[in-house]
Amino acid sequence: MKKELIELNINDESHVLAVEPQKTLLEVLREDLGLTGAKEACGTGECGACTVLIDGKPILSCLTLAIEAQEKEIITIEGLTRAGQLHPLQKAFIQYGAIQCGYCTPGMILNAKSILDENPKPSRDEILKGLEGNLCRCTGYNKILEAIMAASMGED
Amino acid sequence: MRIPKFEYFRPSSIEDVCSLLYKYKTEAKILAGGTDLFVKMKKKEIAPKVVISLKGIQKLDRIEWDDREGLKIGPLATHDALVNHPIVREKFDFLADTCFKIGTRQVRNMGTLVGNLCNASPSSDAAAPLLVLEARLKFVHLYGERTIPLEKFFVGPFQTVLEPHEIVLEIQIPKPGPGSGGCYQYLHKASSVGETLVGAAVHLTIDPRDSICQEAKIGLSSIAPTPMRTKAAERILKGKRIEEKIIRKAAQVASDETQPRSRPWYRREMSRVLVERAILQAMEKIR
Amino acid sequence: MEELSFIGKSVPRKDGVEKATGRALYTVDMVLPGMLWGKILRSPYPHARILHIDTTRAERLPGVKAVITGKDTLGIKHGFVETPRYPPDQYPIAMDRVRYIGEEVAAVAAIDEYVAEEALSLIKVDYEELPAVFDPEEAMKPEAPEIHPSHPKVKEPYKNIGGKTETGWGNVEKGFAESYLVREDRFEGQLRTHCYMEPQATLASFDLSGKLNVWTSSQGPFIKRAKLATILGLPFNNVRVLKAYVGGAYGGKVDLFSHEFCASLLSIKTRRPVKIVCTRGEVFEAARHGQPILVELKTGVKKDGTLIAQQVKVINNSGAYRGSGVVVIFLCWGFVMLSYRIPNLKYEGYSVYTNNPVRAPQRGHGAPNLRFAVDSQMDMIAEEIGIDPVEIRLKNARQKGDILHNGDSVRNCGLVECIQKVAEATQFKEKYGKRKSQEGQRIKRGIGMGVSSYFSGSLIYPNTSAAIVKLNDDGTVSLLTGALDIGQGAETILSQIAAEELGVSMDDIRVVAADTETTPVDIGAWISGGAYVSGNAVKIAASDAKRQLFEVAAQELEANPEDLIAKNREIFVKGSPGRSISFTQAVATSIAKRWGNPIIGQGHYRTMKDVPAHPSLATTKGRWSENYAFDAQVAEVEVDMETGQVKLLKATTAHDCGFPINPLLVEGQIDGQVSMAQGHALWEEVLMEKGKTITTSYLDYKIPCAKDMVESQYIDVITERYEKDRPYNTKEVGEGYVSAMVAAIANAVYDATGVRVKTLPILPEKILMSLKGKWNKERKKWKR
Repeated sequence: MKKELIELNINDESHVLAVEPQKTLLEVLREDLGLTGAKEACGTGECGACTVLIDGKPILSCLTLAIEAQEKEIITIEGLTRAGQLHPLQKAFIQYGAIQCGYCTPGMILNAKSILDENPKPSRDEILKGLEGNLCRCTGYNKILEAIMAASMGED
Repeated sequence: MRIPKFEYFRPSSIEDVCSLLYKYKTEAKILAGGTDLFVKMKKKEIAPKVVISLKGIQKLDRIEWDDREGLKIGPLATHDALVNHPIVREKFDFLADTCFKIGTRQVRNMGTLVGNLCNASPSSDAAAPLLVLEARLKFVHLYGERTIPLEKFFVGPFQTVLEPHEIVLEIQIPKPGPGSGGCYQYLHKASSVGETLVGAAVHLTIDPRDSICQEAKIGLSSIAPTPMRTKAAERILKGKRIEEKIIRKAAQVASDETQPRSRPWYRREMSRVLVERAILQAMEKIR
Repeated sequence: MEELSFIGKSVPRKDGVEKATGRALYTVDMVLPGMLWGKILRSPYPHARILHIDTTRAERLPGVKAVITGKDTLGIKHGFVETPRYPPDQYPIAMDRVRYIGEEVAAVAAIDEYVAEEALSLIKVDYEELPAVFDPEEAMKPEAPEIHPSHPKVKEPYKNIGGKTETGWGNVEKGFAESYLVREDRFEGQLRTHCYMEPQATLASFDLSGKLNVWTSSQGPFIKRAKLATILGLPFNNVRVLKAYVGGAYGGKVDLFSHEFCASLLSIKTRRPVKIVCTRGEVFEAARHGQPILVELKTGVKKDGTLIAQQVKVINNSGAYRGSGVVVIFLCWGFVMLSYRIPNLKYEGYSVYTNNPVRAPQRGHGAPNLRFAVDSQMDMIAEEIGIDPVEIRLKNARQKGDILHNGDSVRNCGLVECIQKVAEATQFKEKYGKRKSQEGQRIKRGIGMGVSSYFSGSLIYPNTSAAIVKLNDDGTVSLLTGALDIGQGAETILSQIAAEELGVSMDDIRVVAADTETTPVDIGAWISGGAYVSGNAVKIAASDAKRQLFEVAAQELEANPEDLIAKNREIFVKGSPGRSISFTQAVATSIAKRWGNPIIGQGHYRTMKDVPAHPSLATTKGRWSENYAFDAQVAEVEVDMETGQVKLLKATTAHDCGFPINPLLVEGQIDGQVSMAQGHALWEEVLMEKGKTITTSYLDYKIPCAKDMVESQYIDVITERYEKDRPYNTKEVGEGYVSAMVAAIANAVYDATGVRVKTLPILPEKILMSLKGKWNKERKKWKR
């Protein structure tokens, strides 16, 4: 298949790459750019581990073509840390024990960020509904909820 | 899991889409949100040579209201856009609620209502509310167009009447009459997310003067090879004052009309239960 | 008693930042220069002879660098259990026969996954299908097709027996004759699976010095190395299994997997790194799911509910090879006899071959299904004799000081306290048995209890754990441990222990872990001995380093080593804070004045040091464990009587884990296990049809999502404590909290609905079908 030259804006940096049409954004991130924070746990849209933010919205990068992710602002988990400072959600996840194996964590944090960006003080049910597409097998979601509620309260 | 290789087109007009469809026919698939297409391709259920993206065309994500003609939804309108759209909330609140149920937060940002219908899953959540709202689909192709009621769209599991050279350009939902209201009740197959076990939509029009049911529409999904209206049950309600006994009878008749293949006893029972609940809730809304 | 600085504190996990920033590298993330991608060809038949494999077309495909089949291997078998009684029984790649759909038949390495996949389609395999059998009770019948010959030591004329466990004491017949009430029930646990988020994956790289380097998603590198080295015919020092972060395992990544072998062999053949990542569908279809178990339980009690006799028959559907089947039938005996005192017991367990993919341990390894059976029946018995579920459990609960029949001592046991506390915290007696008063309500509530016990560490290869504590010039510390953090927080708690011993901060410690070449051996994160065995090894190593430091410091400070304390990388004389020496100075002094000793502490630890071998899996003779954990859990549910849907509202866990090294991590373990119990009890099931897996995605196999989150309460029952100057005893927290919760949910559903479901999962239709007649009558009184 013929490759196409594309330009992606990821974490405020521009990347120019040559990709085949079927290449997903997830594959580009993980295999071409070394941004392995976004993960594949299912590849078919049920687990949410591949979640990245595109123009602020949580999107499944495993079902997004890289050639169709151009001219958008893409944020991955690696982009959340600014000048070495952890994002409040990252701090809260660590502090409240919301991380065990850590595989679902990047997607979970990004989705949580998009929830809080939309509504800074969501209810418990709003958070849990928002996270329904991010599966976690380790934590039972209890401490994930606690961490997000704490971050939304501005607790540090 | 890799998507198998394909040739990618990104036309800038609907005419160009139609030309490509006319050229490639069954070798081509339309790409809207990708949440169904790429999953099927990854699982090797389909293997299109050509993928035609709609993303290069303007205004396909339109959600437009016309006071005469009702609501028009374009092929790139996502579930998320519908959930929050003020007109959809106001005029078709249970459709907005249904769109909020579909998939997950991420899927709702990507997936389109038109795409959901074209996928034609027997358990499509979108289908039942749209059936009871008597939605119509407009297809176009290189040499013309046609509009059909959604009821005639599904012919089997994942099968529609859409020809390989046609594309759905919009969903048309007629303006609901006064004294009407609808509701969608559902159960998940398991846990609180994912495929629907049974979905039941009800749309009623009640005359406020005598509380007689003018119109009754009942749509069910995940209980037959395609989402369907249960017309016999509708006839039970129409022209009557709706009360407990009538509701129970209609729900039972609706349940009898279903043909579930897997977990049939439970699906039939739940059809009955959910239709009852949907009727009651629709009535609450109308009051 | 001296205040502890780190032990018992909810210290944030050490790898938290790595994971929260997406920097943690899992096997799936790793790449090496020149890396090839591997894929595996799997059998489409449940039982067949392999007549011929033609790989020529695949080999010729441009981009393919190697193709392997059974003939390229040394023909050495492996197994989960490798003992004289249960020798290894599975080839890493099938040789002349396949015994399940998905069994590995060939593998290719190519420049990318597309080419690799195409190459698979070019491999031609000629099979001769053989008759197959899928149900274990069918497979035991004399007319069943033979998958393997039955174990020679099993006397019964059953077919396809991989192994048997038989044990007991007293006289059950006499016991039943004397019983006031005897109940016989059959319970069936379903096939369920781990659903670890990181799929099975391996990256193998054979370097030009003849060493194989392997990164693999596992539960401990040492057992993988041992098996890989053996079946590849390589010396142990030429196989290095390195640390990778692990995205969940829960028992499903202990076995040696074919893809680990294939990646290794393909790398050896191509002299290039080879990575194999299984798709989620492949994991569902061919990886190892949890052991499904049938339990037939006959129990006799006195009029007051005291157990007199119990007769248990367990049938395990182990799949096409022995796998851990012969272990689970042994463990089920343990899970029967630990929680309640049983004066007369007869136990029989059969591990049966069927033409299904091989099964593996899954969190609890038999306990969830076993406790579901036992504790459901306990409630049934309690109701029949007219006492409540709390009372009957208190009457029979294991007590501190009991000596078990295999000789193990239950040196401490907080089970009675767990039952009392959980009943109190949930107001169990007030809420229980209120079905009648809820008559006519569409939504009914119920409460149920379950009890479980678990062993903490046992003797199974590798039987020991060792650690090294290395001091750097500036007094900071390198902790070398073979322990692998699979999410449970191993590196964190081991750092806490080292920090406590040495008086340094958590940040002063860097952990080097789970690398068979650089770190000492460890038992692995699958035998429930992390906190106890690995922890004590680290404690001894840290103490050893401290002892050496104190010897130097004592000389410099002209004090006795017993009078010294270490804090903040300083060594003080007790009572004279002015007299001190920093770690930095102590290390430098040691090097200068003590023949260059840079201070390296080492330690090792093992459970049951005086016991030479593991207990007999077949007879249960011999010591099993020296630390037993206990818990009592209560589930509160809500049932919609019209739809049969069950909602788990609240889970309360009272647990005797000894003492928690890190309470925050323990809570996380409890939450995760409650969630697994919820799925196990209510929704999860891998559906199979004649050996073919039907549920092949998260769409079909539903695990709890965020909306299913259960409110979880924890009650600690402390029965041990951290000892400063000797090894401490503590208990496991990673596996035992699934089982009692499954039973509690089943009992709560009964309390709410009056429906007793004996086959898992408790699907809504199972409840409704039982209620059908009864509910219709009640419905008339139903107020909307």
